[in-house]
Amino acid sequence: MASPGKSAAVKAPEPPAELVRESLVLNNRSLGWITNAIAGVCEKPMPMWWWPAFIVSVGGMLTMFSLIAYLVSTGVGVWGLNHPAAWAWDITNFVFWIGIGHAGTLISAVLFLLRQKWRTSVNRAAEAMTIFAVACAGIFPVFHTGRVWFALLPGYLFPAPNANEIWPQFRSPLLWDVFAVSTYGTVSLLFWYVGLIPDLATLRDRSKGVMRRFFYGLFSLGWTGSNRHWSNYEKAYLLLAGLSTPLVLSVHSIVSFDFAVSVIPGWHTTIFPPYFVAGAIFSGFGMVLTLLIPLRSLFKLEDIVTLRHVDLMCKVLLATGSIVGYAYGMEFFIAWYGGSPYELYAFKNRAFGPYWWSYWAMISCNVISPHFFWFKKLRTSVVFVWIVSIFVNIGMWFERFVIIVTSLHRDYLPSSWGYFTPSWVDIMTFVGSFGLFMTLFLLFIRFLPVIAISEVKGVTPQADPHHPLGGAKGHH
Amino acid sequence: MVLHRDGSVDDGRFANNGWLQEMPDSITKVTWDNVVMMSQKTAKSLGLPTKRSGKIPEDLSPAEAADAKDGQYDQPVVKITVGGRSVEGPVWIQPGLADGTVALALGYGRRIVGRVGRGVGFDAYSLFQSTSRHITAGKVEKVFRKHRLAVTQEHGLMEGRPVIREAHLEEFKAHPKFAQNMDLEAHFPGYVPYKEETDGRNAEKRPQNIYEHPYDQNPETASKVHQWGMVIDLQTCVGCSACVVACQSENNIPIVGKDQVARGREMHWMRIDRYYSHNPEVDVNAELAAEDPQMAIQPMFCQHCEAAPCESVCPVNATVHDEEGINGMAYNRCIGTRYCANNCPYKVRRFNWFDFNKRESDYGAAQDQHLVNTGNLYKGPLGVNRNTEPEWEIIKLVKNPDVSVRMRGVMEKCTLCVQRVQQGKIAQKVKAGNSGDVAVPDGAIKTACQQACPADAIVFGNMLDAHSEVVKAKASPRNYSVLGFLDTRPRVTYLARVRNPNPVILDLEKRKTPDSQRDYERFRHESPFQEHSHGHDASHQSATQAGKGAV
Repeated sequence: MASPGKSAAVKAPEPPAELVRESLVLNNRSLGWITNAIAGVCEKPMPMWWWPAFIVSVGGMLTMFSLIAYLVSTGVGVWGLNHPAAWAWDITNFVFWIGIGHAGTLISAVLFLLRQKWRTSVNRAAEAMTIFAVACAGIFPVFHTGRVWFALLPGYLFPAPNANEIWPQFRSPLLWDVFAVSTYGTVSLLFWYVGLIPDLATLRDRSKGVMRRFFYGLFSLGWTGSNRHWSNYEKAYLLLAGLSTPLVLSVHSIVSFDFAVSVIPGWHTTIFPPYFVAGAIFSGFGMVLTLLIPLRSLFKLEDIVTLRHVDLMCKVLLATGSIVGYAYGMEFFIAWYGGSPYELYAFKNRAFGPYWWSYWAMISCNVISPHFFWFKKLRTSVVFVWIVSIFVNIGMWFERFVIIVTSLHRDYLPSSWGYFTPSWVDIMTFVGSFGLFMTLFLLFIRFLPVIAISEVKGVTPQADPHHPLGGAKGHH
Repeated sequence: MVLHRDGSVDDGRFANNGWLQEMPDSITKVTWDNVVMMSQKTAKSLGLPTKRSGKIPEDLSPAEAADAKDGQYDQPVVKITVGGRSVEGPVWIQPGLADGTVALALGYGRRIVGRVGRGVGFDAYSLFQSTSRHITAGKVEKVFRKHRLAVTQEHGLMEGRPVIREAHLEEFKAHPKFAQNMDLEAHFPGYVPYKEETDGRNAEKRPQNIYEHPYDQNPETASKVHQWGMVIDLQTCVGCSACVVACQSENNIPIVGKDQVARGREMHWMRIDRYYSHNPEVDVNAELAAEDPQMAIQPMFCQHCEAAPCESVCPVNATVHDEEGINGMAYNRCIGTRYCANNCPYKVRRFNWFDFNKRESDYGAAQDQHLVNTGNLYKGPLGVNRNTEPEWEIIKLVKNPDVSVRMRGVMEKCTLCVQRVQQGKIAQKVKAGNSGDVAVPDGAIKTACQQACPADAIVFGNMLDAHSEVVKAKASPRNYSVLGFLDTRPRVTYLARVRNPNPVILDLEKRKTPDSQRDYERFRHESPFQEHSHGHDASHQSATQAGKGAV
């Protein structure tokens, strides 16, 4: 390990001041401090607030599972769905959660390939968020079906040879969804787990309890930190990053096909794939900020998740939020330019029909709120950013609601027009899904390192042998 | 004040019949209730609320004079007193009803009735006078109470969409093919959806198609003997709804009760759409014009599209075509994603939200009424299972043994009475013996709706039989497909309605064309009775005649 005193003896040319990048870890923290700070979170007993938060979350989760049991035993009618709105909150929640997952994959895969080193402080939590969000997302399309017991039986949605020789219908976007979401969930989980291995070994080596040592030992797969291990690990990580990158684009494109492939005005739109992907990243970064801003201050990790990180993520919000805003405008333009009165009506109805409030909630949250982030002062005010991130989450939920419900409730034949109102079961199931999400996230905080220890250390100046503070210098 | 027999329960003798109680009234589309009908002007003069809060521009909503949410109309209640006797009932603003008139249906509110008719409507017989059903002296007062009505059609205007196509006789004579010159398909160069169908289907290739027609992908799978088709004549349909009940009885369609109807979950495979239209030019006062509407009705059910949007989105192949052009449902394959219903442009698919066949519905009980055993559907496995009641053994006999009874969680819709089609084919095969003449003669198979139709407005038959009634009907210049521009190529087509108004009754100077046609022209800035001003239309006209896609 280098010490500043020793390295001062080496006459390394100082880079010009304007080329010196701002350090990603503040206050010149040592590598040991980083390990202690992050590993300490899951080694020390949880702070007092954790327990009430956990109990409330578990309560929400159990509510959701009970309501799903009610739904499965009684019928989809316990939700507020009807004709013509045969999908509403169920698919809204599905797209909402799956969209949130996208920030994790983008941060972990795309930013890794683009060598955005700042990702290291946020990728672990973002990937965990992705997996938990995909778990929440998966529940809705599975249980929204009328006969779950057949939906899950091989030979229906999952291709399997069966006596009737009927295969799934490969033209249906819902089937593409099955493959897209399950691939996404699997790859995200693998990616997360592979990234965890070195840190799990760190925790194993530091752990005092027998149980902890056993489980961390089991899941760190005998990691010793040898050069061969690191070499294999980095190859695997790079490969998984390569595999995940197309998923960032494909998953939400396919989710958007659920709508774009249909014939319903307001759904049948070629702009959907890019628009959905941008929206997903927008919502995902919103959720990352919602989670990380309290996390960094509650566990005193401000030196690792710095204001610069917040600032950069706000810029992502600004960029994707602008794309989303552009897409909203373009939809209206095409509805007019396309010349179909049905299409035009669908969009007029969105803005001025019975669901006008949901449309304008969406516009104010998604189009207006990110534009505060043109100002650096606002980008680095954590309280302000946190509040805006909540609005982004709300706005993106409304976006999906607007797309699904306002298009369905008034389509081609005015005689079948209707109105959807959620039932209490709809509402509590959605609230309960936050319980599941938060339960998983709180357990993650409790048992796993919330920041990738080894990766953060890798981007500190101390880890760079050519840096004046570089670790290698002292030994030469 | 007029007391009239009801279209559903007649004088009350059918008040315990669930099919009839759930059958929407031909005009109001109210189920499980009778109403106090009056015109908007009358309601206004009585100080009753006549407008819905901001849901639809009011000049377009003569029929929407209630606070409706998804078929749940919370209507103000009035008390009607005649000679010391009074009844209370929900107000219904009925466009077209004469001002100063109040109409009440008899037959509801029976006190001694079975469990189906219990608590349904109010008893207008209290006002009945032995001398006349027309009462000239009475008092209508507001009661500060609301009553929820379950209505199956929330929106009563076509919004300028040519769903029902109408013309006056003179216009029709001058432009017999007007119905084929409407909506977006009139703008597609070379689009020839109505070519005489000699080979049994809409075989004409449409140049703008990027997808191959499903029948062209596997032509060998299509039957060369039968291709079923249907035509509905809007000219003769009177909207009596007999077809709706015939279909319900034939196809084991459950009743769902008032509460579920109000939630938009009625299961009818057929519905009779009722549209109002009005002409503000007749009277500059739009509100008064709303008092003088024209009405058009249209039976709507699965259109059996050849390129069916529902089929391509089902992930498990539960809805597929058979070789004879019927869009069928494999109930035991369906997992209930409901994507098919969402993607159906005609919204004719019906989902079993609950075990309607197994659990008793609330019948006519409103949510605010506390009757025994309500909310049974919502109790799931804890509710009463009818299958375990001995009485149910008898009730089960009402089911048609040729048709599957569907459980909760599956989608269903019109099958063109596939069970009757199969019976007809089998009977013909038996008759044919070795002769090989398996083509069912025209008229041998009748669908349930067709059989019940008193006006012969429904024609069903084999489109491969050049002499069949259905082929003749489809050759009519009035033949058109609803939403034909979607290129779903429905097997069910409609014959446009031609009105022959009496110039003494209707001011033809102001109403040159039916109001719905006028609305279409006003919304779309084009008329089917004129050449389009667009560049491609000269070729369009010749293309229609030549049957070729010249651009």
